[in-house]
Amino acid sequence: MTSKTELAVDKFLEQTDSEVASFFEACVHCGMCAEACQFHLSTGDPKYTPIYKLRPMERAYKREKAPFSRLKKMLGLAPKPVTEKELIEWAPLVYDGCNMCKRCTLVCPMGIDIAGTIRKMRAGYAAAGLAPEEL
Amino acid sequence: MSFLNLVEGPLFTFAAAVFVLGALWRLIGIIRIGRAKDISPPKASAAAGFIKGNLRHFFPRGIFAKRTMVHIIGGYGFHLGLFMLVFFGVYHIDFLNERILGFSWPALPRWAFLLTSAVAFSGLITLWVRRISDPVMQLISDKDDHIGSWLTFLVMLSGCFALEQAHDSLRGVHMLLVDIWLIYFPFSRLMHSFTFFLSRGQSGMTYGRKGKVR
Repeated sequence: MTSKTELAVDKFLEQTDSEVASFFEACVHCGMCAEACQFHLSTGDPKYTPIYKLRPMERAYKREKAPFSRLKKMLGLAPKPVTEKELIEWAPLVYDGCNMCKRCTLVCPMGIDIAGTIRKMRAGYAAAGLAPEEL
Repeated sequence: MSFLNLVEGPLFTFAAAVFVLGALWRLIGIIRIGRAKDISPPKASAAAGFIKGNLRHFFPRGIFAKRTMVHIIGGYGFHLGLFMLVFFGVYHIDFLNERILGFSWPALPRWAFLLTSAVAFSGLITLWVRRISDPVMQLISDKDDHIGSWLTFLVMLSGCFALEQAHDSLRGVHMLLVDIWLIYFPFSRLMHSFTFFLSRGQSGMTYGRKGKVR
């Protein structure tokens, strides 16, 4: 039986086309997106840093699909697999912590469309049945 | 074979090969994944969006500029400084001329080189201090960020020590660090030097197609 995590990760990888891959490959962890995010600005909580909200999807890409991912796996340098616990922990950030305003996309020096990628990440949550019940 | 000959000869050739082939492998690997098909009718040119997206993100948006000023000044200072040092330092031009390209171009005068070094060092140190002191940066940073920063810092620092050309060993240490930097580059976040144009361009294409790149 396919687990919820596998369903989510499969969908994350399906949603990671060359556009999303280029976002994950270009991010330099500069943190400028936090200075544009209304959730971070109003709470001051670093967990609302937009690029941080994408971490499980980024990890899935870097472990399974990125160039050199096989080599890094062989050498034990690949990121850890995504877990269901982690996905559940991230759900409030992905759903309640982003209103898709795209201010983070405007401020990003790399032009990373974080909000657009959050939408694709939500597809993974929906496929795994991990989206909020109200939706 | 002396240490200097090793690091400027076979080891440099190996490092340069890893750099070029690794960077190409990674770039081609990203591109060959392919873009998801957009079935909506285009309102404007995606290709123009690619170019506009790349150019637009060079300039900070006014509404965010004040909040991100430290990063903007540090980032531009470091990157422009490093670019000038690498491509307009007289010893770098000589090295590229003699070993790779076979032609040269005017170099920065010594005073400008030293001033540019100060700007580049200040920028890099500013970015790294922000990385270790800001709660957001502490949360999102990983080992790769620190290794990349430190490796670049050590390359620059050893370059300063080698500037007087007083000892071959100082030049050798600088070249050894350059070799390590070149080998580390394609496997690390240092690759943003090349991937930034893909990232900006791809989102530029998406929004350009919708007629929304401003």
